[in-house]
Amino acid sequence: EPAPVPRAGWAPTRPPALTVESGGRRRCVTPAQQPGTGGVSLQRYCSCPARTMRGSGSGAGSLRLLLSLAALWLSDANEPGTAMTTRDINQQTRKSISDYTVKEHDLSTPGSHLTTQDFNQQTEENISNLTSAVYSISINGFSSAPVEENVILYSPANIALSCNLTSPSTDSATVNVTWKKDNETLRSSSVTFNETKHVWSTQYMLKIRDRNQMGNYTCVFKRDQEVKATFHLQVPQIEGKEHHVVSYVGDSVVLVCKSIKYIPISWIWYMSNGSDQVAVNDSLMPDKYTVDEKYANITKLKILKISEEDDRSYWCQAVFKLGESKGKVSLKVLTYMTPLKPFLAIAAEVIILVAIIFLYEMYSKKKQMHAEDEKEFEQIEQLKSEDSNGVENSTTRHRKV
Amino acid sequence: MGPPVLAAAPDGGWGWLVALAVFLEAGLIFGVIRSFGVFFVEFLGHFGELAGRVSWVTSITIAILLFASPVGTSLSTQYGARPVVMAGGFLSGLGLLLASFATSLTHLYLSIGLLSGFGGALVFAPSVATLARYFKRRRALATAVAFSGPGLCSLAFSPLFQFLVDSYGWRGGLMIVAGMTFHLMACGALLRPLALTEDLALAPAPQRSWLAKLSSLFGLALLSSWPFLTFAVSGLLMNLGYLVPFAHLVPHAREMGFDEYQAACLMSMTGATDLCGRLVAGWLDARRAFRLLHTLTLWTLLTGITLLLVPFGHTYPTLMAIDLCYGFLAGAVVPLKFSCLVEIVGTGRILEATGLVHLLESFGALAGPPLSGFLRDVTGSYTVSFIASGTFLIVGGLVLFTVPNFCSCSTTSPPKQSGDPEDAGNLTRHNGDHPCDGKT
Repeated sequence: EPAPVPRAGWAPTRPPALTVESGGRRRCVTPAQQPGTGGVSLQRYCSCPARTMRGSGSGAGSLRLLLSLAALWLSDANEPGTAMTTRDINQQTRKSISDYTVKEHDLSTPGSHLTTQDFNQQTEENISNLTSAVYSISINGFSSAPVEENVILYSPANIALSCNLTSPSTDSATVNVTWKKDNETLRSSSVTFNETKHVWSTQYMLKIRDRNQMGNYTCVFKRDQEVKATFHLQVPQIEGKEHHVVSYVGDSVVLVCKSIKYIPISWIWYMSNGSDQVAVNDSLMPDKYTVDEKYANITKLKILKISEEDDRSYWCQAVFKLGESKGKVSLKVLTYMTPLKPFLAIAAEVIILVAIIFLYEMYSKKKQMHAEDEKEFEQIEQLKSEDSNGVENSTTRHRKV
Repeated sequence: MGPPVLAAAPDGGWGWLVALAVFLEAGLIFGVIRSFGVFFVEFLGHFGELAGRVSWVTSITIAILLFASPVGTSLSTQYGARPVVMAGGFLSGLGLLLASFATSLTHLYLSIGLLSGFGGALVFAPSVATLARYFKRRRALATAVAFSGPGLCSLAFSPLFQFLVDSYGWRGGLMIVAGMTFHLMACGALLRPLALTEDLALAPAPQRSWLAKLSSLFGLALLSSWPFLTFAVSGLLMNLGYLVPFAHLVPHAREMGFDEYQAACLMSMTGATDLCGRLVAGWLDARRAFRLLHTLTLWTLLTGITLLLVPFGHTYPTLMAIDLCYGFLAGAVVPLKFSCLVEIVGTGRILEATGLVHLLESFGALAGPPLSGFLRDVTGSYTVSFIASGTFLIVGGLVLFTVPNFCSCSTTSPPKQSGDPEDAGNLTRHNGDHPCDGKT
């Protein structure tokens, strides 16, 4: 509500009627009633109890006003932070709330602006039982090749990375050890260094809470030579299908991604569009894409009415608490002509084989028939010659001649 | 002019080509069925159905194969083996070709199960009969050569199918397998009809009503014979478990975490040891050291125990070792079963007995893999499935103990049936290690 404009008739020494916001409370000042509609207008602006000062004596009224004004000034001066804005107030109220609930967090550092994320994580830390694990790498000697190990992390945990260097030499020169995260040297506040006989071991304690702590952690031992070992902290990898899935135009296909051991929070499917990846929106095109998430660790993307443009790669992204990982499944779309050609070739070959077999049989039958006919002919000839023995022979021969 | 009439079976010559034809046929039918686990996994993923429902594909195929084999036999006696086999080959290939366009599981049941299964029935029984006609003295050798088909072919087919699926998807893979199956027609073309003098001596069968024909075809009169009945029931129980690895070993291996080619290799190794098993069984049969029924019981129990061990194969070498044992034992069981059947019913009624045993076993084949798949769906893994199938095999082996005269050390001759047309039995005589009950 705008401050009422003081009317011209008022004495300039008197402070005008103001609404002052201080600590969320509003103070209303009701000046002496002027004849006319002055008081009424003021009352409309300030939501004050309707105290009509109409008709009271002007002298008593002005004294009361002076007293109330004095009280106003005095009380206002005692409250801290009169010029505070709303934002500051919100922050302070939050801080006061967090002071009460998070008992163990150290608020000694002044001016620390607690964000909501820190607040949530701290309450989580106090509530859930987090796993603790130790991952260690042993390095043999200063001249060994850099060792690497993959550490799969599924949920927030307290982990310790430990490197043990065994060096057979009895050189007692000091060994410096540093820890690096993605090539940035880390502060050694959570590093313990233990040196016994010929084994130097260092341990780095980590609290994994979100994806910022994932990455490559390297321990570097340096004397005159340098040797290092790296821990790759990563979320569980999703295996897609290495061989493409084959389907046909007009058919439907189901692409499956599984994450057996670790259950992701959710799955997101992407398809390749040129060189970048576009999210597959199954709610936008329900008659083309359907995502089936009956079980939390298996996701199935069903693509209907396949066309040639669906011949591309698809990625299933599993979202974990500490990050995401993708698996690739590629789809290959064929037309019915592709297997039809070998089929027709094989069918033609079968027809040729059958024809060959029948032809051979007919040929061999013909030969047999010819051979039998010839036999019969010879037999008849023999019979004839036997019959016409003796005189007839000579006569026939004569006749022939 | 018709085919030349021979005095006796040629025992060679064109007969070896017939043996080759039957070898390829057995491989193309049973080798494909055995290696179908690769496609099973693809169907599970594509149709999103439960393992129990997808298992019906294999089980319907085998059941129809067994069930309709008497139809194949009767058609071939009427029209000759060659046209029937070629028609069967065409149907088998057509079924697989139509399956490559399938949009639902029902489509697969009808095209692979019904059509290919029926085609296989038309192919198999007449081919085996023709082979028996071409060989007399060397029949055992010829049938051994011919029935090594499934083992050798499944050795190659399992990884081949995985390769086809990787290159063309399951649809393209089925299409190419259909093309391969069309070679059954070429094999059928090799089955030249053979006229033997003994055919002419056969008096024409008196006209009987179709019911009498059917009953004689299936040998329903045999059901009254207690030894046969126990044997048939044992066969039914065995079939409930025997076929489960062919349907579910590859999916089980994939679920254990092995990759596609490792799982396919398991199946192909089963084929290799199946071959060894058959040879050993043939050798045992020739030796006659023990009574065949005892040997069969022992091998059945061992096979059942091996199946029980399958869920405990957690690493690849152990699973492979168990798998090799299973292949060896299962390969031996099939010819042993057939020899025992001959022992029980005699060569006179073997044709009818085979038909009836096929009929009963087809119910076991129909129920076995879907039951196993259902158990997997309910429990979440194939462990219970394999334990159940192993149990069925063991129970089937135990039922064999109830065959009369089990404990006697000598083989008893089967009861002579009066009025049996011995010639009909001689025409399609199957010898010792010739597995005719379709589980090759």
